[in-house]
Amino acid sequence: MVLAVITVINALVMSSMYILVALGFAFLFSIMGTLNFAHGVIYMVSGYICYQFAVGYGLNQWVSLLLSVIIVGAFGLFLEKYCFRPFFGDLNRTIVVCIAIILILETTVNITVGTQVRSLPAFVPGVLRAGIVSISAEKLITFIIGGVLLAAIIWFIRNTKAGQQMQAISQNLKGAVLQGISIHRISALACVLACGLAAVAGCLMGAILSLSPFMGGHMLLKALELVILGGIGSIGGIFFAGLLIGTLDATLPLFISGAASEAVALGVIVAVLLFRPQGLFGLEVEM
Amino acid sequence: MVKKLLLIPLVLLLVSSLIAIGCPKPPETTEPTQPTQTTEPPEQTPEVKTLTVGVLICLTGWFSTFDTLEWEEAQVARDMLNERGGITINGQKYLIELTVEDCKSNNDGVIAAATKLVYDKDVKFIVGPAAFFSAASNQITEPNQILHVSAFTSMIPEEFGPDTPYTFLAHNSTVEHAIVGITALKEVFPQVKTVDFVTAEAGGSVPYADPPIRELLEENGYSVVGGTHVYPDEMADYSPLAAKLATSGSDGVFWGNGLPEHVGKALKSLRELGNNKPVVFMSSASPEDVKNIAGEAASTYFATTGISLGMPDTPPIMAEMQDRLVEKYGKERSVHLQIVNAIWCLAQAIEYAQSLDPTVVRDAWENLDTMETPYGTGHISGLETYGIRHAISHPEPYQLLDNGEAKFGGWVDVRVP
Repeated sequence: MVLAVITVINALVMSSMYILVALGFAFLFSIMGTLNFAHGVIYMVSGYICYQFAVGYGLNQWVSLLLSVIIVGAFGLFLEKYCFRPFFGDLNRTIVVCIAIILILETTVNITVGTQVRSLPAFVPGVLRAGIVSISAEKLITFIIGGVLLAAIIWFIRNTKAGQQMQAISQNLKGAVLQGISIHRISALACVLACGLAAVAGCLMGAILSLSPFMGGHMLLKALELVILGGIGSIGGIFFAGLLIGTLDATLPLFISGAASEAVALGVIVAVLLFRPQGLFGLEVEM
Repeated sequence: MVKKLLLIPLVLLLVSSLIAIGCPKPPETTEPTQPTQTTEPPEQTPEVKTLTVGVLICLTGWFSTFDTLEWEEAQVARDMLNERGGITINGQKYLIELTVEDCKSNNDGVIAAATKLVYDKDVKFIVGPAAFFSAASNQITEPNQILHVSAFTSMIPEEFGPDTPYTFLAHNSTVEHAIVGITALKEVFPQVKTVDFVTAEAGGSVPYADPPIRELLEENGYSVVGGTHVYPDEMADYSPLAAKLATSGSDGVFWGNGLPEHVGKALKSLRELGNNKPVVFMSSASPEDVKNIAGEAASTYFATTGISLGMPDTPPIMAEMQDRLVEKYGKERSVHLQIVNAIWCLAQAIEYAQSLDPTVVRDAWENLDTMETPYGTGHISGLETYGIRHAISHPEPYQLLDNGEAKFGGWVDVRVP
């Protein structure tokens, strides 16, 4: 019973973070057609920036998180303008640019900070106990923040003009342009949002899982899994895929040792895609 | 135009943030340091030569979190050896020069690095790598009769054993660490009778490492609960593993091969579940390393076989190395001294053999019974344990984390048959 409750909590926390990161990744793919393979490394850098403000300069940890989000969000503007926009619609060149960004950021962190693993202090220290079950306050707050941000993003997309313009671009680029929507402005906004969400996840997970220059690879893989399994262009799909993958990641290691649990999780995803190649909620495209 | 100008400070902000998050390290060098001069400058002796030793270390990839420190330590060891006069062979002085190749934290990278050292750089002596990577490097070193001094074995036969006659093991490894870990378990947590056994996959070493460790535990009166908990080397989230450990019903956890970050994350998750069962980690991890990751609140009921600064009875060579490392890199840096052992022992073996021929050095090394290591006197053995008498077992300390404080436990003079 205790194990089951702990596993549910673990699954929810991991799912919320996976979804936050994957949403940003999906924004860029839906709107700009950009597979931003540098998304994981942006997640990593955010954690380190927060660490430096909080531990290096002794700033309040929440302020550090906010500063990290602002800086990385601003970096999103730069990315869109100088790294993605010039290669709009050119997948090959965009991938090369992303690889360059990964190498530059990873190496910069490697050289300046070193490869030694660090851990952000807990945003909310302490352990909450309810009967025989304990949960760290940090995990609880991470889950709450993740949930609130998800709700805010969904509200933003559905109820604001910019959000609706994002939907329009992702559904029909030419039609959106003919309606007078500024692709570049919306792409820039999507890039800022994507980087901002990755930054929040990077800071929060830096406290839960610790920081290393190579932590981004794992999260990038998860983002890819979510976007493909959920169905490209579907926020609902990402949500359900996040819950599914988070649950698999929290449950399978209980029964299967070693990397085999990861292989089984990927096997489940492949099996789902065999029956629904467009993902859980994606639209089938006639070729 | 104005927007473009606005973007410039934003980019500068990100770049400066990245630079600000760490202080640049001093440049690394592979140049040998001349021995310190105390009186008048020595005569220019043209006959002073350089002996190039290849170093296999993972400078990038997941294992670099451990190995980049090893490279810094290796350079300090080289400086210390050179300041002591280097190696003298038949009256000819040699200063040690290290040439490093990045193993990239995977077997392909190890093979590429070893190939470059052997075929391009023509080295005859190689130290490293650590972890389970020697199985890969041996594919290059053994057929080419390169004297290879490994820093660790995770018990895979291809890493170290009867089929690797040119490989020596210079640092305590899986079995030796287990002996220290069991001593810590007995001394510090006498109430523990049943344990969970946890280990990293460590390149597929579990089928080889699991039986001897279980045997050692059982010989010492411990029963292992259930099967071995094996986790991937690059696992990110240790919450599921911690949930399993918290509900297994064992008295304690005996953690085999792994990195400080692995056990640090798991310890944090375990304590967050309100579980305070003792955890003993049998690997080279200082308590400070684990505490930095687990956090102060979770750092309790924990023992590890790693070393720290300022331990009681620290051997003089280790103390000098620690002082130099602190001077060069600051106090925050942790110390492992695995590759260092390999360099230190190799220098002694070459000098003892009075030859630069790897086969002659190997044969001479096989005639030795003891060697000095930074950990103290090491004993050459391993015929029963590894199938080849090429291992050096040496004293090793265990240390504790108790209510967020690192405490010294004791030294164990490890010897394997």
